[in-house]
Amino acid sequence: MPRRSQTPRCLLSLVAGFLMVILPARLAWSQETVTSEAIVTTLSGLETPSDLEVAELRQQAADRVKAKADGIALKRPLLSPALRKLPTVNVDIQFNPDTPVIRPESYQTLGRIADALSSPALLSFTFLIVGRTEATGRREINLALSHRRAESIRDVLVTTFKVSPKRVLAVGLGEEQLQDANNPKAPVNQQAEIVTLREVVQVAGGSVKPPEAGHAKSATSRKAGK
Amino acid sequence: MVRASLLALLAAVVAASPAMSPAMAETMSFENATAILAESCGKDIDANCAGVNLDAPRLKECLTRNQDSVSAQCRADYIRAFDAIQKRGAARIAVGKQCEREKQKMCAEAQDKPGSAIACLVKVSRGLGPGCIKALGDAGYR
Repeated sequence: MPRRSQTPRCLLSLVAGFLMVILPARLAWSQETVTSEAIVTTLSGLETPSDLEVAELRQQAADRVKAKADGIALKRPLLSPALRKLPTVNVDIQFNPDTPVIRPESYQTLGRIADALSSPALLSFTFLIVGRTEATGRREINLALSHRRAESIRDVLVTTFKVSPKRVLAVGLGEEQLQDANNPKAPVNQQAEIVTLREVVQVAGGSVKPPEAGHAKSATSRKAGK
Repeated sequence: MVRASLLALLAAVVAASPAMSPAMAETMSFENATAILAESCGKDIDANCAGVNLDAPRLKECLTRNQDSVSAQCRADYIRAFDAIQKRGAARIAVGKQCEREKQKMCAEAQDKPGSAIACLVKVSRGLGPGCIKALGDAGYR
């Protein structure tokens, strides 16, 4: 009697367990489920090395928020159009409210990113984690929170998954780099971005340097095409 | 009826075992390990470790400290998940050393940038030593 009633349940949990290992528990990514291989392919597509300076980017964001420039979120221009031109993967990572603590349902996404960043094809690249928020609440708080969250993603990659700290940088751009500026409050705006910054060339014997990029010294000195 | 469900159970076990056994014996991807951790321990982490990030040592310590209130499923799985993450990370770091001889011998040309030696080693079909083969396997490169 007990055995009979337990068999189906046992079977169910076995099958469920099996499926959970093979299939992602839910679509953690907005644009269907992006495989680790797809991340590798996208992020390795760096054509022109970027001369984007992360410290400068951080400063620009702080300055714009402080100056209350572009005060209306609707159609707010990108802080850095240059950033948008680099190979980018958008990731939907959930955090506990108002904290940089990553929710368990996003662990698998982090694992998948770590798998991708550790693949041989990406070992020569450096990346920038961009934290963002939707345009609700106070701008300066959003900027600070997105920065802590980007740092939190970076910390997890480095401490838990042993990605070299030299390979990942982090910046928070709050609501200054909206994914969908026509809908500033849309949840899509809080997706983080993983952006390929540069490729490192090993100095073997000679002094081989990565080629210098010749465009856009400062991201804001250029107008975006759109 | 009973026989049918027992057969189905058997089929499920057989189907599941190839997927499970490498996870037990070798290493598994970060993605699979984190999926197990989230599935088995997500609720327990929310209940007991809400302020703790996915920081392996801290989260493991928190779950261990709260063993009494943590679900049986989580208790059964969390060590395995953290071990898998740790093993794979360590294996990736160890590849360079474990495959030093093979790199010099078979992939001397592929030293232009980080990762190219590993990409080369992965394609080598014969002549790799057992230590190097194991390291590449544990790292998930081969």
